[in-house]
Amino acid sequence: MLITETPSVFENLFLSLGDTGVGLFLAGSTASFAAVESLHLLGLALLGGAALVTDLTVLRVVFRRADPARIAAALFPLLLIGLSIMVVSGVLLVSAGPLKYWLNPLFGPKLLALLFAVVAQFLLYPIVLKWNVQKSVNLSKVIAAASILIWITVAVIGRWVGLI
Amino acid sequence: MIQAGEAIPPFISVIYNSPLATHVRESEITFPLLQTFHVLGILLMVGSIAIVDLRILGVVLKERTAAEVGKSLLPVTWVGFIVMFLSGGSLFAAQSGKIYDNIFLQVKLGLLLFAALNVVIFHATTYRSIASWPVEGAPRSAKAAAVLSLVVWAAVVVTGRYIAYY
Repeated sequence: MLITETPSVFENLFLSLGDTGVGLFLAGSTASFAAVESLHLLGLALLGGAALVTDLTVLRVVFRRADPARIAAALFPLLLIGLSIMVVSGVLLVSAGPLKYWLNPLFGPKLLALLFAVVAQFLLYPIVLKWNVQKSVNLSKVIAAASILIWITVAVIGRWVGLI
Repeated sequence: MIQAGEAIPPFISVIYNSPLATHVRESEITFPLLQTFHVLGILLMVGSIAIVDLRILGVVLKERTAAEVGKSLLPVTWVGFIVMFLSGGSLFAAQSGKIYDNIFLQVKLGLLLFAALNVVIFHATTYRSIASWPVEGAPRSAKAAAVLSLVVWAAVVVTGRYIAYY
């Protein structure tokens, strides 16, 4: 199952997901695989919804009268739950056929975009707290706009990972 | 491929053979592009609906009133709905001749009808008094509608995903 002559520890670990019980089970059951995909989409609704509303609040598009830091804090648990659901279901989807994802040219870019999105989103919280400082307001808005774009990129690449 | 002589309902046949459906079906890029929009629409529409439902249930954003959360996020839900309706409608048209009797599609359409009915009834009844809901919590009927909404929209996403496999 290894594809390079000297596989890295990470490659070994990644590909061995396919040998786990759950990996073998999902590889053999279309209905279960589709169920995990559905969970991945429901996680997207929570994560994407919470991230988008947080970012739109910072950009003063929704909840204009509210303190953005409070909205961001209030939606943070939802964002974390959504992200957790997506990561767990995502790892499960990979375990059904790790080699396919290892060889997929879009899978690496997706993980990289995801990393950027998470960093941008989490960077927002300490900065938006200083909402009374104009410099912080401007920076918050730039990060929020970037965050929306990067999350969209993650979702778009994610859809195409399954298509190519 | 649709076999000659297969009994497709005439209106499905009209949709399936329309220029739009034919283009989507035959283009390498349009179909996956529409699927991508359909996925992004989920987070706009279902994401915003879930936040409003969870507010009614008193789970998130308790500092803001349910009325404000609902009003503030309604445009996001509408944008999501338009994206979902246009992308979903085109995806269905392109495949309609093959999937019109797909059981998951039929259940999904039934659930969508049910979700729409839930919205209409909720807005015509409980929602009218939203401005006067006590800060401690929404009335029981509103909470019931919110739970129903969460369950039905989740089921719409799940059945939607299964259409492709059966």
